Amino acid sequence: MTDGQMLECELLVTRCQRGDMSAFSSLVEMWERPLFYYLRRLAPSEAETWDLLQETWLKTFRSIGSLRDPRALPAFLYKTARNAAVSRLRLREREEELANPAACIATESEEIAAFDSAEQVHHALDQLPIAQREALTLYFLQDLSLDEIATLLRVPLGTVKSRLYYGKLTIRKILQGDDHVS
Amino acid sequence: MSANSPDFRQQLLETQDMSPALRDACRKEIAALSQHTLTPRTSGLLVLLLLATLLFAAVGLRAMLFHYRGPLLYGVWTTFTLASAAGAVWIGVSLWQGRFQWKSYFPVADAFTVAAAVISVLTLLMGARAPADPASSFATLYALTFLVICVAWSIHSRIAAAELAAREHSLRIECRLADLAGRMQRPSI
Repeated sequence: MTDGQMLECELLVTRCQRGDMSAFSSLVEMWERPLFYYLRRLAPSEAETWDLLQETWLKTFRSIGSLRDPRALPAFLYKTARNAAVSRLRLREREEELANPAACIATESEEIAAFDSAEQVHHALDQLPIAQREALTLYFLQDLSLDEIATLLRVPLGTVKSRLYYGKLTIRKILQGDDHVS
Repeated sequence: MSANSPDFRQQLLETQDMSPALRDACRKEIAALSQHTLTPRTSGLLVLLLLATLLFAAVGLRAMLFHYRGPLLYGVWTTFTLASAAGAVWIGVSLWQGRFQWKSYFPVADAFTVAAAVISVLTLLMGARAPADPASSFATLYALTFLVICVAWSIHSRIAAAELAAREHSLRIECRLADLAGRMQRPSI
């Protein structure tokens, strides 16, 4: 998200807090795709994803008046969306099964992955374990910092880095496999 | 392409298919839901406030009709009754519409402050007329306490409204500047 978009988002939140209903519609439109993308990575079906998105917006609408810092909206939205997904889909249980606590912590010096095709990454994401998939999706969407991702996922920063590292490795393997096949 | 580039994010978002029918249905639901924003907790609180304001209005009306003790006290009760009735109407409308009107919140605080000021002045006048009457001291004390609470509420509301207005104004300017900076960076054709 660019600085201009972030400012626009802050402005929309402030207008919502002043009671401007049209600003809320603009906010829904602005965040529809990123939230849908994130929730779609967690939900088993598209219909369920839309249900979760609806629930997210309902909760957001009720709480937006008490949001002290409008800049916190992205973190707030993803947290609300995740909570909705976790409570409905019992994600936590799956998460505990799939998360690998023995995974080593990645170092700061790891280079940022460069991928040629967003479409290939999109398809590869769905093949990752859910813990890595969620962390990588949030990373690729670029709306949250690594610290914010760690807070959202309720794991230490090192664990987020580790999930990103192994997620990227897995994606690379998947993409290389695809290349060999093609 | 770097995974950190905005283009990558945009391309990634565009790869996700959406069913237009489901999307439209969701948008309609969100638009409908946003018309009814009262949570059960807020509704319960508003019902309690409605009952309290109705009770105050009834007490004030009863005093006006059956306990006439001079024009000053009558003025106090009239102001009190009108303020309570106005509060009851505002809460009733919020409950009826199923949503809390933030914009109407600030004028209500101001209205209550004006009512408290009028009541305070009238009770002070009553006290000046009957300085030996202990009841006038108590009435003044209650009126001033009411006034202090209302003034604090009103000031808090005003500050909150002013902060939001100032923030919106500065954000509008920042948005324009960001837009301008973006246009200047774009290469001319």
